[in-house]
Amino acid sequence: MFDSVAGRALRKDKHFWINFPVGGGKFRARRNLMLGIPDVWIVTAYLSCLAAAGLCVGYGLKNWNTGSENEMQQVVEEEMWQKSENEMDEKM
Amino acid sequence: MIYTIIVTLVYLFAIAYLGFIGYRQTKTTGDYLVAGRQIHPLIMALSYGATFISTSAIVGFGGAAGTLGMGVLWLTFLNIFFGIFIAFVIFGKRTRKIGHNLDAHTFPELLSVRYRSRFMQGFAGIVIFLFMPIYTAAVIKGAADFIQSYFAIPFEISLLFFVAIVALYVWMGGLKGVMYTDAFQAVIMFVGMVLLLVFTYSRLGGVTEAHQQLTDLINHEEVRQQAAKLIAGGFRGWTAMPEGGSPIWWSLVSTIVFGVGIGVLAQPQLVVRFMTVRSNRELNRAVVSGGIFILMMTGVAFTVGALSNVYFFNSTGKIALFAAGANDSIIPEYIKNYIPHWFGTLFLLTLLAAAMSTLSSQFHTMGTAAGRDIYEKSLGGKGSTIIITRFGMLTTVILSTLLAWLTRHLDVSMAIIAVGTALFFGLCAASFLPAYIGALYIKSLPRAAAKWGMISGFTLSTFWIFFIHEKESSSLQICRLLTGKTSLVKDTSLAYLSMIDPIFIALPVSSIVTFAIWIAYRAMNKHDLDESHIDRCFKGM
Repeated sequence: MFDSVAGRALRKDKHFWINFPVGGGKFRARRNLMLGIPDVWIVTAYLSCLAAAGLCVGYGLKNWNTGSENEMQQVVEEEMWQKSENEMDEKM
Repeated sequence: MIYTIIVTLVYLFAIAYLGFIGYRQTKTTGDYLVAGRQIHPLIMALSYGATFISTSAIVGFGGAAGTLGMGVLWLTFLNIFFGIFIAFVIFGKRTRKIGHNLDAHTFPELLSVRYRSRFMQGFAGIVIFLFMPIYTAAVIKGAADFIQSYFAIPFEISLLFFVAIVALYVWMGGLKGVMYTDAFQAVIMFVGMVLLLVFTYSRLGGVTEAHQQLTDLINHEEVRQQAAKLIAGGFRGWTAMPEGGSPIWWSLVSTIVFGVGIGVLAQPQLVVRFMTVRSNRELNRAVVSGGIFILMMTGVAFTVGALSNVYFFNSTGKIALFAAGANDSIIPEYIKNYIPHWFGTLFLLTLLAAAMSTLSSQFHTMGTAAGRDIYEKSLGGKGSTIIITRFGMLTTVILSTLLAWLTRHLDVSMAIIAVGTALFFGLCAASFLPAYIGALYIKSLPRAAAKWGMISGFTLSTFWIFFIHEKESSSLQICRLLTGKTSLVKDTSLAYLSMIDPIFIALPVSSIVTFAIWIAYRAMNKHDLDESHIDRCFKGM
């Protein structure tokens, strides 16, 4: 990926891993990695956004009808609280 | 102009109508504070998303992407992964259940009843009441900047006009009104952002071609001259991350990406939304629309913000920051100059919707912090919660508007909106996150651990904001007044600390403090919360 001199210089860089993707020089000619973007960190961010949205959609659809097992019991409790809250409000 | 005014009036009429429906349906304190806990999942998800995404995200962070490049997309990833997936699935379900078990109505109240600490409710209420106005001011500024630029009217008039409209319908509607209007606004925002993305990419020849043009921009000699200051700070182009460890890298990664990306988990105005639905099924369903919505909001804003450089450069020979004149003007100027006029009107509504939906929730949260958390619960004051909340709201509206007006005196090259937002998100994360996670997942976490974690996180965070992190301390001026320097570590061997965002320091410290006290209590076999209370909190889990 790097020519030997630039590669060695880059590996000596204490921020090697975060600088890794765009190569040694600041503005050396860039290879188009994907989608017109040369930096693997940016490509990863771009694709991760789509993947995270996909995760949300997949999870939500898979669990579309789960999680309402105790709903009726809660509704009854809420109604009781509401009633006592209304009574307190009236007293005030 | 007539067309714009008519469309805007129709929009405001629709908002007023939805606010009125919410007002009519608000009969009890529960309705006002948690919308009666019976909100439809789609409305809940859209309301969460619309509250989450404001003009701050679109104008402020979109502008930051215009200056710093597509690295800001990491924030979109965190927004979706942490802000939606983790927030709903890991945090939301337990928040809803414990909130229900303990009949909590606000985020501070949730912490208070879970740990049986009136101090925590008052403390959290004060943090919200005092610091959320900074975030609110950032959102107001985003909208007022756009209205000013679009209608060519003075900033002060656009500011007052905008705040008056939002304050009115929040005053009337309570959380039901807020959530109904949020959902309507979310639909407008979604349509607006989809069209913005399509316009921007199609006019540059498609996705890859557009990115390639943005990549090639940094190779122009005049662009490098204009961006010389940025390049000296570590900037390497709009499709590359800044140089690792450079000031711009720290600003992007620590303040913008992590500050907001992690901070979202402990946002009081978002947490309360989990308590508005009646079962986990609603949260599961809300994850779908929430994930897509956030992708289309921040993902589009940040991509378009970065790509605006190509448009600005091709037509003016300047990069976005210089062509627009200020970081926060990049998106408004891009819309004004490069997007068809009819779409400008739609985008105006998109921004109004984004700002109004976030502001309404912020005013509601600050009002409840003052009325419910501080006055009624912490100080034991008597009277109608709704009336006290409304007066708390009025105070914060005035304070936030004043702060938004004062931002006119700050350096325009600074990403004022993004920094103001990140400041509050980071402060909330450092102060509340360890206690909040403990409240949901650690039964044996003692009250003392949660309390001291909260205090240490808040103290260190505010110290770092006022005295160390130069981006904020230089604007806040207190450090300069006391020491003559913009940061305590400036011109010392620790100068690099001035680049690190408070969340990077304060959140680990508050987590360690919480964890250390928990371990100490366990070692001493000591408990400050009785077992029956813990059982009540975790009933049904």
